[in-house]
Amino acid sequence: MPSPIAAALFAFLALAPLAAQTPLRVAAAADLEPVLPPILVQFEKNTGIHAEATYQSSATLTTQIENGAPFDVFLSADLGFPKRLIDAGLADAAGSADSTTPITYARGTLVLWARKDSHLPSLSLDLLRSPALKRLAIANPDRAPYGRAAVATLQKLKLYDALQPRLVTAENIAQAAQFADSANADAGLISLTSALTPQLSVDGSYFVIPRDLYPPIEQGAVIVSSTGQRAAVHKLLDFLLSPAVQAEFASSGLTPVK
Amino acid sequence: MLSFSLNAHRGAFHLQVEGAFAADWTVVFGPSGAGKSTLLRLLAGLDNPRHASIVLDGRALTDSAARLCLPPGHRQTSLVSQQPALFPHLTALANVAYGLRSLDRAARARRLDEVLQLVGATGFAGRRPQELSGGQAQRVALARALVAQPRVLFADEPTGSLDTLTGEMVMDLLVGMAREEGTTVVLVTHDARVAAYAEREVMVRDGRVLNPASSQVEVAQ
Amino acid sequence: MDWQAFALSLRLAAVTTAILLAIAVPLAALIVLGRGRWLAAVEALATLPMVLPPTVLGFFLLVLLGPRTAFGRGIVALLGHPLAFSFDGLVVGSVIYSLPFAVQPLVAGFASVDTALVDAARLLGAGPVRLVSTILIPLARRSLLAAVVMSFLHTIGEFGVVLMLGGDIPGATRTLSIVLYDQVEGFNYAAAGHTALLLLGLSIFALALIYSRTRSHGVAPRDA
Repeated sequence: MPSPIAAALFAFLALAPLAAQTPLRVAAAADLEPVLPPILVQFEKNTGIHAEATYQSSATLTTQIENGAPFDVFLSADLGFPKRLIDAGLADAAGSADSTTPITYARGTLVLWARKDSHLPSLSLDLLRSPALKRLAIANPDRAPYGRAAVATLQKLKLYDALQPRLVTAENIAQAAQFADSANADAGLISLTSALTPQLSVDGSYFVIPRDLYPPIEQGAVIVSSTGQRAAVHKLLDFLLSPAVQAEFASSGLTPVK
Repeated sequence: MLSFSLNAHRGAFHLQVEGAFAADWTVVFGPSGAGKSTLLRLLAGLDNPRHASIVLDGRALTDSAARLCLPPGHRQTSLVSQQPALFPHLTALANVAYGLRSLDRAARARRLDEVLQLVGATGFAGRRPQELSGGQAQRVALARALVAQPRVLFADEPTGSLDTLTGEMVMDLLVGMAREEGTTVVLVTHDARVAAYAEREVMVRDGRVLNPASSQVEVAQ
Repeated sequence: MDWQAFALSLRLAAVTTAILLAIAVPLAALIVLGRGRWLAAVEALATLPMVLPPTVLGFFLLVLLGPRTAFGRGIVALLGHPLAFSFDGLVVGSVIYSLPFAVQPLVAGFASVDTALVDAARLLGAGPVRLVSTILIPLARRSLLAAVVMSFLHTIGEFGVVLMLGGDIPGATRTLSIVLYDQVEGFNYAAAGHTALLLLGLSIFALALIYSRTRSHGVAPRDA
């Protein structure tokens, strides 16, 4: 029986999505999960634009966008995945210097992380040569940018072949951190953003891998070409490159690009 | 002599009886729902009563004070019901043999042969239950219940699902076998014709035994 | 085609199924034949792995089996290494993850056996072991089969727990489903298609073989 309350509720449910402005849908790489939420809150305060982020591995998000996922902007953890979308004609960097090159909004930092109670020698590159290191967690080098950087580092140090049997490969960088944080792996090559999260900064300590050991982990953004909110996307990209946000990136483990 | 004192709940049903079955043939007679079947299940050890003492020939089968309740297979009692409940995946022979485990092979074969002949099931011993008529199945069930030579056989409406003629045949068989094997029979029925087989009759209604004087069965409280 | 991963998946599924049967048959019999309210809790507990997202279950196991818990340290002392990132660890994870798929069909199958038959067997002196092996299992053999098939296939297709607990080590923890996922994530769709097709073909073949065998035998009693 349709009571007035039910009718009102129905009207509310049916009309509510129309009343509110469609939010900006952000496809964000998993390493942004500890970083991005407060930035999006600040963005809404400044501009009145509500943005909602979905955090997945960059590869998963790329597949989703290729198959029509309704995202407006893609913040990848590398340049390869967004470039792939540009080449497929699904995304662009219109408005920047070169519309076919993803917009680099930050750089990632690779660290060697271990629990404080791990009884390992002190954290340094020498630890990677220590026999006490029985299990080293890395992210999947085939698709995770930090995994690629980890392998590049080990290869540069000529340790990759020796360490390979002791590597455990995680699906993504967050899981690599879990392997090490749960002490199933003795240490992990993970992102600085993960190492600076409250949980991991209490449990462990980290050593920043020298930047000359791996190619830069450039994080690129692209506009999903099918978006209907191009203006709002540009506002968000400008906001991410603003000095305030770049400073915020620095404090949460990303290296500013400006 | 099977003597008992029971105080049991089964669902909403409350049974409180005390008594003894001494005669070779006792019929427990009463309307359906009176608690007759419950009484037999408790005596046979299929259900565990809250407060009970059951003694068979001086040996305690159930003594809730001592936390004793022998499993149904260790009481020297057996039970046949309205439904023969033969194992559908086993032949009639294998059904009867199921209860015979302790004997050596030769003695087993002898005893099986004997029992099957007694119930006249030799001709269809190799068949499976679904290939037997109702009367045949009940005869196999009878053989199965008696093969291990129990002291007491409980029979719960054993002819309830059979036509009159077949029922009479099964009853005659039961009487004959019990006599042959020296087994005490406690039979539950609401059928006056079946009750007529009794040497002693016990009336049960609403969980109470009604005629204690004639049966040595007394109501507690 | 990654035949090493293929063989590993088959081995994992076979070992897991064997262990699951050894656990699930007594457990299901206890749930069906036993008395007491605590059995409801046992059944609920045995069903619980279905509720948790597999990666979350894998994460809990990773922590539980890892060197940070007393239990995990016991395992390290016993084996010399943590269970995570080893085949043994995957077996433990798979057994827990697939437990409901072994227990549920067996509980349903055992419960559908006429209680009069259970009573009859008990009257004839059958203890729990004989009751289960000679009455419940033969009469609920389709359920037993279902439990085997479900456990096996569920383990073959298992992904979240392996992903979390495995560490993607070739020959030890890189199963076919992980390879398949890697292929999809690596945009290697052709290879992924081949792997998936093999997985499907294998499963259909196994299922058809098993179901046709039970059908043609025809001795499984219809009323059980």
